[in-house]
Amino acid sequence: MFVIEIANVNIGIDNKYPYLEKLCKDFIVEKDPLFTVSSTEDEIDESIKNSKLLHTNSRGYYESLCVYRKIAQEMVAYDGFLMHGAVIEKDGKGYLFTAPSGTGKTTHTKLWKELYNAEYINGDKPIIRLIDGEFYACGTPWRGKECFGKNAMVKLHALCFIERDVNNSIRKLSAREVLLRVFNQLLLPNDDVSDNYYGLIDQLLSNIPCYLLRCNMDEEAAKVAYEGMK
Amino acid sequence: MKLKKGLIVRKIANEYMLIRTGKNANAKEMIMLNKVSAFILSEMKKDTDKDKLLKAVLDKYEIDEATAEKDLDKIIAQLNELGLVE
Repeated sequence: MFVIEIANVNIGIDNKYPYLEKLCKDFIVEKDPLFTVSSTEDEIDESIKNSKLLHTNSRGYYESLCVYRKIAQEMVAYDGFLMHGAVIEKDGKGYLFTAPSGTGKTTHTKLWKELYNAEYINGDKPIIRLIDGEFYACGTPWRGKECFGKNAMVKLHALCFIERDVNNSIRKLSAREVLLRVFNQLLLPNDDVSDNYYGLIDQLLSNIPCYLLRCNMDEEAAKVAYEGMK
Repeated sequence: MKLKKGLIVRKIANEYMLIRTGKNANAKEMIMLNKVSAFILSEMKKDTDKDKLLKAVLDKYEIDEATAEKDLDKIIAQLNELGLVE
């Protein structure tokens, strides 16, 4: 049992396998948790069964997935939720890039790092949290296979959906276009918190501009994205 | 006739959506609604029938009865086809 702090929320984790504690080491604090999560062996079995991964991972790895899912559900009570995507910080602003796996979020955000010295907040599964009327993108121990990210949070400036294309272009999306895309990238909530959850999504999409970036893998893609959203 | 349990109508970013909540929540099943169909589906949270729905639509919107009934039939048929009402 140990406590981590994500998005300014202290969370107790009652783990069965050592993997979780190693994964979370940059986020461990000596504080009292607001809530505590754990997963059962049955839930771990279920997670292994549903896994699309071809390589074999330890039970501890699957425990970490179960535990994170629970954390994300509990976070809704604190105005936080999980969104699949890569968050980078440039000029103190957070940019969240999202797309179906394999589209090239990492490839694109690496360009921002090389070109603009932008920093990864989280490469895969950030928590977005509303604090005092502002949305923050927050680092978590769950940061994707490249392990890009750190224990930090940044004010969310823009949300960007990525599609591959031959040429680079960016445009703002209408609410309708965003709604057709965004729920594929979110972990949908349990019944008892869904009211608060969809209220949060409403506020997010009403306050944070959303863009569609069509891009290739050249440096120019990052320039087009940055100029279009800064 | 009413919406099945777990289905809610929400306004998000000024658009209306039919959302399935809870364990069976699935992004692919979310349906975008226009204002009138959002109103009709909201009325279907409690048990109702076509006559009551038609009256509610005519009370709320300036629309002639024949058009309203045609639209309502279409919406009810779609809901049945998608298995969203019981």
